Amino acid sequence: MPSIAEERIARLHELARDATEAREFDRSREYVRLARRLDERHRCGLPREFKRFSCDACDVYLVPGLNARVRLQSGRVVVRCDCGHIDRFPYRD
Amino acid sequence: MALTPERLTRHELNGLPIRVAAADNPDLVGIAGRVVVETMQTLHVDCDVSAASRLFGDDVAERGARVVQVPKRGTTFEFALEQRDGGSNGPPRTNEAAGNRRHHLDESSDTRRRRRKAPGSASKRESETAGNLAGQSGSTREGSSDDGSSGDCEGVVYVTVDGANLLSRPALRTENVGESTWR
Ligand SMILES: [Zn+2]
Repeated sequence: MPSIAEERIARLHELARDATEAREFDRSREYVRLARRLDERHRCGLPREFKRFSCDACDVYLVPGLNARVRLQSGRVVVRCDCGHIDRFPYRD
Repeated sequence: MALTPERLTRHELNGLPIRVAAADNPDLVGIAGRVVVETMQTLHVDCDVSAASRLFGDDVAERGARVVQVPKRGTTFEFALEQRDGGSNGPPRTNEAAGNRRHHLDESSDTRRRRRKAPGSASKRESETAGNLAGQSGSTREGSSDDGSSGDCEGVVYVTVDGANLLSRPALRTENVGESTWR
């Protein structure tokens, strides 16, 4: 049974993705910031997909091919936001 | 913990269809659309009339495609909650079942609203803060009430909320009740 905070985060996840797809990047940032704030207050964590597809530097929600570049290197996924921030996530074969 | 009328004031407002039912500023009445930004004292409504008129009927002011900032204080909002299938709601409901559910929700939310303290107050100072906030918003209508009468769409519940109950930072509205997990 998800709590209200978790449900709000799930809703904000959809809203942030839709905002990015509509090129409303600043609105997307506000949704991501609000979701992160809810996580801080309720300590409920963010879904992994949310963490990986939001920029740590400028908070925008990342949609590959639209405002993010996703590349595979040996042993890691590299996600680069349009602002220039790069995230690397390890993976195992 | 689905989004129900009782939990609306603690739940996410962004993205919900909304209509301004009554306001101190008469120019704001009839604004309908989708909440896109929430601030501590205001809601920004994206006036997409085509989508709004489907849910709210013809009682919608023509605003064009723009975002209007509406103060929460002194305004009465009407939200349209579409009951989604799945989750705890179980199988899709018939018209009759939806009607019953709406009635039931109205009753329970009425009682709940009456004993709910004002949003934004910390849990330790419940009664006196609630009194103060109620006094602040003296010009608005007493409390808030639900009505399910204004729409015919199946599975849509219309919730009327006094904007004074929403006066809170968006991230803090959820945590009025119960023990905080923050230490
Ligand atoms: Zn970025």
